[in-house]
Amino acid sequence: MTQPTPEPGATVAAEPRATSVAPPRKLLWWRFRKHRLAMAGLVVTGLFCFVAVFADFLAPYDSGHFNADYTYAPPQALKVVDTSGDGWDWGLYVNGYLSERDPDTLEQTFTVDESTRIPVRLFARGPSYELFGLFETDIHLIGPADPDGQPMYLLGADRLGRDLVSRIVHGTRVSMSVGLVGVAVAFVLGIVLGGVSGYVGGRTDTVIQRMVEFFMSLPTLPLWLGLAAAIPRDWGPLTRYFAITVVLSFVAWTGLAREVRGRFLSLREEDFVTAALLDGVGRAGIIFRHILPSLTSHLIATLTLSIPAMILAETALSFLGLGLQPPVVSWGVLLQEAQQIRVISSAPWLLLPGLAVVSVVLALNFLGDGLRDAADPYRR
Amino acid sequence: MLSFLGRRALYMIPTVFLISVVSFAIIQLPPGDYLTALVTRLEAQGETVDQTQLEGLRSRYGLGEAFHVQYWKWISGIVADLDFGQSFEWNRPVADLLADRLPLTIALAGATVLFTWLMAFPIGIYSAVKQYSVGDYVATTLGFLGLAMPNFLLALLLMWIAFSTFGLSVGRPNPVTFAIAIGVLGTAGTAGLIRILRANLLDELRKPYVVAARAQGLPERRLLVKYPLRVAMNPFFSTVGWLLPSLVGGEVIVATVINLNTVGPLLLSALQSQDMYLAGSIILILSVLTVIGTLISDVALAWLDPRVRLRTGR
Amino acid sequence: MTSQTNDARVAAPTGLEVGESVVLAIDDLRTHFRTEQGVVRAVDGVSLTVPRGKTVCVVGESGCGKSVTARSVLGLVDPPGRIEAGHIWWRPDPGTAPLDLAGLDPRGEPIRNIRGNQIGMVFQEPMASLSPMYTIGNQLTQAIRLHVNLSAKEARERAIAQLVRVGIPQPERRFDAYPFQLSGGMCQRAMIAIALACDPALLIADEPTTALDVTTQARILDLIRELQDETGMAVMFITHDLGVVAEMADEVVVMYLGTVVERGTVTDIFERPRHPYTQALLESVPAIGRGDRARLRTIAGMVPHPDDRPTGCPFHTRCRSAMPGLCDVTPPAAHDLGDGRVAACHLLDPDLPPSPTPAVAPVAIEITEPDHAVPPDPQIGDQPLLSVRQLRMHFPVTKGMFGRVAGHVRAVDDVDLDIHPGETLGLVGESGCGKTTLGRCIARALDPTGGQIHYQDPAGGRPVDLARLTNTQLHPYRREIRVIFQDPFGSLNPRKTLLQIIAEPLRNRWSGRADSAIEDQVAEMLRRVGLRPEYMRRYPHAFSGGERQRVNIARALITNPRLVIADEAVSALDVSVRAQILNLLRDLQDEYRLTYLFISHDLSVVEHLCDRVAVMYLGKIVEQTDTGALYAGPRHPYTEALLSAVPRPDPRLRDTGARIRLGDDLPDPADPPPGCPFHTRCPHRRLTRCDTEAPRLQDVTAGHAASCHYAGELALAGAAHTRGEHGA
Ligand code: SF4
Ligand code: SF4
Repeated sequence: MTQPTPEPGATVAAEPRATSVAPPRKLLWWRFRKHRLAMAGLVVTGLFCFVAVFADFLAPYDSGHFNADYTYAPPQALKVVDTSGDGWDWGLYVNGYLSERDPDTLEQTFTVDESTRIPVRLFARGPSYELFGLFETDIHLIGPADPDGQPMYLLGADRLGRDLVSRIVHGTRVSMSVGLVGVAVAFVLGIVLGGVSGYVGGRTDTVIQRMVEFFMSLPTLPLWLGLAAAIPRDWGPLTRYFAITVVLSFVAWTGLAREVRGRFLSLREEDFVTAALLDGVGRAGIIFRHILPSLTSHLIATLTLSIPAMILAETALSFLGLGLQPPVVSWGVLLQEAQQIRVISSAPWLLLPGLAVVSVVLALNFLGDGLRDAADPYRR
Repeated sequence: MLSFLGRRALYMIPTVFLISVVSFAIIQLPPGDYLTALVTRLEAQGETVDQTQLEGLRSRYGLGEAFHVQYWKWISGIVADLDFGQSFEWNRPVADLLADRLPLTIALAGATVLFTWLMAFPIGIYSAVKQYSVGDYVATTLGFLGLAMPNFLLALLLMWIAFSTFGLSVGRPNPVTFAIAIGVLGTAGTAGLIRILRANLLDELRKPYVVAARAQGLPERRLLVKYPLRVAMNPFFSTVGWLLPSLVGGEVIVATVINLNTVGPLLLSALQSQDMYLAGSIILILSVLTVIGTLISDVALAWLDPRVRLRTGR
Repeated sequence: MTSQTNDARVAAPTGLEVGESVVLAIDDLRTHFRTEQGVVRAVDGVSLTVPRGKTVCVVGESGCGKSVTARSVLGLVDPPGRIEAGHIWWRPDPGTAPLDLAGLDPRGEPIRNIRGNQIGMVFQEPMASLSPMYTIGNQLTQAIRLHVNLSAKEARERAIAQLVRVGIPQPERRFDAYPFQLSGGMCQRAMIAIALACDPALLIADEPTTALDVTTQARILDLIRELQDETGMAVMFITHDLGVVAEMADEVVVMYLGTVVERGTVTDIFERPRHPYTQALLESVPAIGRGDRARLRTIAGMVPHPDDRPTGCPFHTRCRSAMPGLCDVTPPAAHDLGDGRVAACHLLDPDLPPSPTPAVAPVAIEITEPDHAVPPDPQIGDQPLLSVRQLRMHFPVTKGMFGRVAGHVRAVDDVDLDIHPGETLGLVGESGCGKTTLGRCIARALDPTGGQIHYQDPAGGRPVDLARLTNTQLHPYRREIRVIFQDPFGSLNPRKTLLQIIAEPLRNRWSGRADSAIEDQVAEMLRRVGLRPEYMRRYPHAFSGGERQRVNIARALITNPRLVIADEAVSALDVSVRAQILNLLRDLQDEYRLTYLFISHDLSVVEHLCDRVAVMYLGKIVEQTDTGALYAGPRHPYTEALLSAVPRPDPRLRDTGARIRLGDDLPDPADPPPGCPFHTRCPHRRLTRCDTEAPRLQDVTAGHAASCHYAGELALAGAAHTRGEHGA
């Protein structure tokens, strides 16, 4: 037979630019890197995750550690050098308190006492804990040099004289994990039902869609409240924690299911999926090797964007006393302390957990937006 | 159009039915029933309970019978003569309690939606038309903050400022707290709307018909208002649907900080004390209102958008 | 920007004169887009003139900057695009001085008074160019009242008159219709009504018929010409279709990579092209009615992306006459060849010493004909390879909340079709006629609702009915029947390498691994389709449309199939690349003894490639016969209309031949008309039987079947007869 004549020049592609040989994952990363806000979001989110994982080590005390002598003690500034004496005296320290009780109201007021000095050190000894449940240690990143001496309150103390730094750090663990676990549960529900609905289509699709629509037509917050309130009071902290997580995801899965279904539907119509079918790829192969990989980046973006809603909802529920209950510490539980305006006006530092909430929610939003833009530069 | 309305109204029926089942299920969820709780409470207060009266109540609510029988008694009471049951916390009929509080709630809702629209509309348009301008960045950042800030935190902050700088009394409701409540409740919605409006408008501005209209010589401002804006406005009408429930939800939270005589705090206290008839009824009413709100916004959309109106009408 | 005083006659450096006979003169226009990746010079030194009352066609492949040029005229370039330099002289009235549109603020009042008033514009996507939120009448009256001071009532009257003028039936009713209630053709008429609402001196039409079917296109082109005769306006017509150019143009401007390579009168350009690119372009289009089945000449390579434009002559990377050391260094100047002809090529430089190559060397690649001029009569056996019987694909139309079935769209309705081994069967028809669905049923990407698809394994054995097999049973046949898709972008999974894509059907179902033997096979296949084997590990995003289509072909052929279904396989490609792919398909057919089912809306391509043709209308086959017979003497009125609607790339044929223009648009396939499905549009319809009795597909002469009651009696015009009158 004749040699087919490849058209000369048909193959003169210009020298490969970096982008032309890069796998899609790398392209995605390149696009993502261009969003400065999203990169900042990534860093902040990473920091919070780090804090959540190493909470025991980072916090000077454990979350329940209290000292009734220091009710509502104000924050102390961490100082590096002491210039009060003659010359410069290097070394970490905080000033102690002068406490005074109002003879009329019996209220205790604190003032920072510049003259006393509580030495502080890194890797100080404190309450012992088990790191990852593996080995026991009592080293904390920072703490008073003398574990039995005066306590240290970098961000102040609450009603029971508990250290706010430690409580926020421990709360990070709970609040972040509620978000992640909740989203994971919602994700499983959403992807299974949404995927089935989108791929199978027909009657199944109709039924699932009606179900999703029904759930979406319910008002979210009252439903959350109602379900959370219905959780028996006598359940243990851990059961309660999971119950709350399930309640949160129960409402959130519908949005995910919709998104997954929509994507499935549009991908199913794509020519490359038809091509795979004609290549003799089975149903499972089409779903797992062709449709799902194309979905992942969007899914990750959507998931990232639904974590903040979870965190906010948990915070709100706990704030109202319907969510997690002490002794579990989450940001919402901490903010419960700050319900009274009078309390805030005397101890405004109790609002600080709110700052943590706002920053993590912002960070996750930026991160998610950046991911979505990178995953799909042509859609908004 | 009429058949569209009719069909939409028909679709509501199964949804409302399911909602009532869910609400009733919530009422039933906590262990023990309402009467037992009532009896324990009365006895704890040292009062004696009249057994015949108790029996009367028991059969009235069908307590101890199967779920569907209880449900039937409950729902038929509501439908027939608006009997939502008894709040044992307040010791009053639920219907009376609600009647006291609904007007203010609805006034608050109306004020909030106005606030939301008035804020979101100009900012959203500005942000889209002047994309990447300083004002756009400011609006976008504020929008993000508004979404990220839990509204009770915002309420706390505002109240704290009002309290500490203006010496506002926090104890009882007054116009200032009402205004703060509107601001707090509207913030998240405003931020969300700005984002949606901006994104929609940017999308529409890229559509070929905008270029085509420009090619006719239409001035920019008229072009903007007449064409893309009208499409981009759709989200404003869908706000009506989710407004009331999200508002009451937000109110529940805000009310712990700001004292308001609305349904929200009632729901909260009912939930906290597991006064389930009251709580369930409120949830039922809110859900039904949501469904009605969705219907209204759908109709508004269909009325405004010929694509919805004429395509589904076929 | 410039703010020159406007003299009555302005002579530009290029010798461009804005004389009284010129309505628009573009002088050295440069429109650039400043993006993050750098400056894209979309339009880079374009000069052209539009004479009063004439039609100037701007033609070029995608990315050549023709649309940006058109938009620059009205200041409609979207940011980050900007006119960086040059002039756009506008002289609507010979009595006034020309005005430089390039110097006007694109958001200002002066340009707005010109837009829609002195210059009207229509766009490619008629449906998307009208706002869905307002009625046609609303948008039309607005356009009128913007520039003419009329009361609402007067404007309405004028608008309705305008609708009548553009040939919209029932204008009073259509006045209150929304764009999405009308067909694409109607929308384009409405757009034209809007553009001409104020009787502009110039109409800019930016690919106005590209999104339309050929029959609709023909009527829109007629309309533009009629309106031009009536009003004496000038038209600047942007298109990529040389056939349309030949039908419409008085003068032609050929663009390549943001520059004008040649301009001149339509006869000059088509008969005596001087620039190598123009010559090559003309040679790479198959013309309908020539019965010409020889290999097409092609232009090597593809259009470079505007953001990495070659230095020197932009065409030198693909030009066969390129002179090293000159063409790749110095951009050629525009040489005036007299009679208003200008071409930018060093070969035409009178000062250049005569080079060894002839001054006007043909650039198209020599036809390296395989052994035979026409493929040897393929062994068309008596046994068809595939025979389709009463095939049906009805899609349910659902309504209501729980998906009640309210009716059916009969996308494919009782189709009989035979495909013989070794032949190429063309399947043509307008969009929505069901041809793609039919192809997908045969490939069993869809489950047909009725009928049989008998496949005869050439190795012998009994025919199997593919329509009845389950997915698992189909597995062996999936290797025998393969599909080449239309969309070169959507059909390749962006997350897989070429190796993974092409080797997919070879993978062992269970192990799912590609071993080295498979890799060799893929490498060989890539070489066969003209791609380097090294590309195997790259991802599709690294390739252009034409290259991706080669990948698509490689994927189809890797299993060594018998039947290949090419579904609009070249429709998304530019002219020069399309010719390459057509040649490749032809070569591969010979090499692998393939049988093709070639689905296309493009009748000239079908004529070029196919042995036999089947014409589809509303889910049914209305005519089926040998290509030559069909194009020479169609037997069904629909085929006749289709053939007569195809624009021919030969200006001499412009006013010859039958002009059959189909009325109204395609009926709703969920509710096909009774009797002959074509009777709503048929020009030969007779009252006796057509609207009551459905004709059947019957042989008119041996091997020529048509489904028309009067197939035997009607004298229908083909595409080929004009050729006899004009010679070649
Ligand atoms: S200037 Fe050179 S490269 Fe360009 S078209 Fe002419 S001969 Fe070809
Ligand atoms: S049967 Fe009648 S309507 Fe149909 S194509 Fe023939 S002449 Fe036309």
